[in-house]
Amino acid sequence: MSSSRAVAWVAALCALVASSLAAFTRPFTWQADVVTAVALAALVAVVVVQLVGPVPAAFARRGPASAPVRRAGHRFGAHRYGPGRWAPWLVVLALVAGWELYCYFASPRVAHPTLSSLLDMATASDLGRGVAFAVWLALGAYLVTR
Amino acid sequence: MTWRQATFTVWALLAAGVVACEVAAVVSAGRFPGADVLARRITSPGPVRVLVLLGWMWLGWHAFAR
Repeated sequence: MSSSRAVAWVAALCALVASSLAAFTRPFTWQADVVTAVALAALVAVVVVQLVGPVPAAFARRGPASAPVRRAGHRFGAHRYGPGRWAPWLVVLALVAGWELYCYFASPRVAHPTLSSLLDMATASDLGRGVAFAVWLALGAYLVTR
Repeated sequence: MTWRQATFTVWALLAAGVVACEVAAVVSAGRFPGADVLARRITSPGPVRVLVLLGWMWLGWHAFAR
């Protein structure tokens, strides 16, 4: 097993442990503060490593040419998509933003749940909180290594 | 149907819209941009990437700590 693969496996194991611990914490407790702060510190550490280099392969940014795009046989570059190709995303994201704003200013909140309300519902149970924490960590890992 | 149910229905439709965009990107074999390309497009300028990372940090603290 290559060292970068080993590092990736260790990172995944740490994320699993952190998510399991987060599942049994409650907001506004020191335990929740510690688990979340450790995860934040880990991602900040990866960014610092990327800035000072040399970067271990497991933490290296993948750059603009991602494997799936290469496999699809297309030259990468967001600029290769004309405005029409972006339209579906723009419409959906504009609708999400508009609906969020509507729900935010409408009342009562129980009748008009916002994304934050949905997140609260999803993280109300231990399992939901653990899964949400894992998804949040995965999103952070994607953002710093993409 | 109550307002609460209607709101959940709209959120579900919007989620389906996001999934449909991603499915369209996969099925079209790259003719339409997927979520990955969208994320790269949005965060390609360095300052925006920093802002997105700060947003991710705020989201985690907001959802799990405070």
